Amino acid sequence: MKENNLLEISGLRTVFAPKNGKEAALVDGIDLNIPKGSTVGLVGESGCGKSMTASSIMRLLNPPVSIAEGQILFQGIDLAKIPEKEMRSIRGQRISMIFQEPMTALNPSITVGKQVREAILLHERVSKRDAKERVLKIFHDVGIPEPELRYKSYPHQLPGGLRQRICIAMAMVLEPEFLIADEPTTALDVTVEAQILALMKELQSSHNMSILMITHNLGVVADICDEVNVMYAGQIVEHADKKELFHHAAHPYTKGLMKAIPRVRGDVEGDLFTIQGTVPTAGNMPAGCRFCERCPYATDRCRREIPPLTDLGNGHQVRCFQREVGT
Amino acid sequence: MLKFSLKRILLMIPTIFIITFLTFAIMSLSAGSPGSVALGINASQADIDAYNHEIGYDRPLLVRYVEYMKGVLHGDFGTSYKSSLAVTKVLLPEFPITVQLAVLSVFFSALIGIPIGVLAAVKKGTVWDTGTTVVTLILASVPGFWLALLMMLLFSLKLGWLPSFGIGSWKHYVMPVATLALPSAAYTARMVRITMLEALQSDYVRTAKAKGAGPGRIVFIHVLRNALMPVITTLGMSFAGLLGGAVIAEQVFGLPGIGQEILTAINSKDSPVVLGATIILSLLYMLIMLLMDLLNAMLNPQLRDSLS
Repeated sequence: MKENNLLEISGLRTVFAPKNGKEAALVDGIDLNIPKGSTVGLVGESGCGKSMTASSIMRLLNPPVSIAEGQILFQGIDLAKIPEKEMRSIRGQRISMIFQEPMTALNPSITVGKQVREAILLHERVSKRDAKERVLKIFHDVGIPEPELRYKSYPHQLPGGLRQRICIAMAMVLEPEFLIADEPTTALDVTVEAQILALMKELQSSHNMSILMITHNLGVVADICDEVNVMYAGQIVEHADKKELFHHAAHPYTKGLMKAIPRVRGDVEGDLFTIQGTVPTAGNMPAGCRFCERCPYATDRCRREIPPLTDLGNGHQVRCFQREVGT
Repeated sequence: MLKFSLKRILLMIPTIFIITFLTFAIMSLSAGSPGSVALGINASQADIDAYNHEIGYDRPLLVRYVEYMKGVLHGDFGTSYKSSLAVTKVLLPEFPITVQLAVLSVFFSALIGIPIGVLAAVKKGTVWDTGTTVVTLILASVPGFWLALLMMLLFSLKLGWLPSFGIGSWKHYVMPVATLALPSAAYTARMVRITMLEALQSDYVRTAKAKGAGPGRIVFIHVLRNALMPVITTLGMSFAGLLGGAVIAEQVFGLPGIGQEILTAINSKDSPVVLGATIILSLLYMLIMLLMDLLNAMLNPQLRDSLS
């Protein structure tokens, strides 16, 4: 494990394996590093395995989905191997997670204060009163107005942005080293999204934690990430630091994603670019490159062989035989 | 919340009037008159008419209804045509038996059904789950009287442990309660299993897991409360249903309950008894429904907010 990495995933394979059915890989052999104190983006369309990667790290998989192969090294501990009880002591304390839907992520019949307090009480032997004090403090830190009043609120009494702040407070209250954010702003209004992203950046620098930011929104990546991994059909297809990726995207899929961002400048009249087709489903993967059926540059070789992840220098890697095309 | 309860209680008044009027009208329109009930089949038509005139039965329906409701408001539910006793006197000794039966049945169906359903959901896909699913399916679909007869055969005739008829000791209640509670427990278990499975898959459970909560905590603190809300309503409804509908158990085991009394009263066209029982049962039913709603509101903050 490299000194400056907080988390190193190598060869992770997460599979859907029903008792009497065909096994299908949802995450198919990915390598992913999270350097200490940085924000790493994981980008891709719905169904490409981003959330499954997050759930694998947190070990929140429900059978028949499970980790089949690979290592998830977190500070020398292989999260893929440790017993559930040990994992439980890591969850919420050293690694925490926030989810996409703040509407449903909170228990509707428990006050939000108690739900955040629970995170403390699960991991530390402190009195309920001290725990409450800490909850009020973190509420203040994440910008929740009137913490005392909000402590006693139920989720349905709060607007979405505030609920997501509650979720962030819950994830941050024990000052974890690593935060996984699974599309944390997708369900929010654009203005609220900007506030939440600003809050996450601020919390990250004040607590020096690492963040894995899962999103399908390249705008979010541009705003908050240091490096980016582009995921497609269960594989990482491109990895680079943010600047490199935005200026020299090498994989046709990444380029497609960038072209699909609406722009006000340039040819406003033309239709918005879209990538034709859909992500192939796990179990129905093409024999060669997984993007070949949607790729404008695909050759016979692309359809036959799976391209390896090739280094382009400066830590820029791409999984494409045609990497020179169009650059 | 208080306002909500008051509103609901006020709404009961028109409801009671509608229910009584319908029952009153149906009982009047069906064949036979109080005179023929009281005097028997050998009475002459003249005697019957005289009797009907004496008690005012020959007046228009609406007049009689208003008269009757006046009495009801003063606690006078009329006199049984058959026994010439006050209706309250006829029904009073029977209510406790039926209420006891209903309370015990609902209590046991919750006590047995909920844990079985919870375990089946938590151990989904295991032998326990499949086993309880089969057993509860059988129990929920078996007719009550058949279960009653089977138990009688075993526990009264063969083993001689339990009395098969009448009232007296707690032993008399075992089989009637089992007859009512077992199918209801099976139904409850199946329902709890489904609501639990649904709640276990919810996002807030994932959040709780991500916090580091263990399986026990997730079931008891996070899931159970949300999963039991719909079950409480069902149990309340089955309790209310049992008050009037425990007829089969009462009949088979010879328990002089309210269900049996209503059945006899309908057969003999004893309208005052039918009406009295209907009014009391409807009131009880509505009160139970209100109680269930309040109980649900206690568990569900969202509902609570929408009520106040």
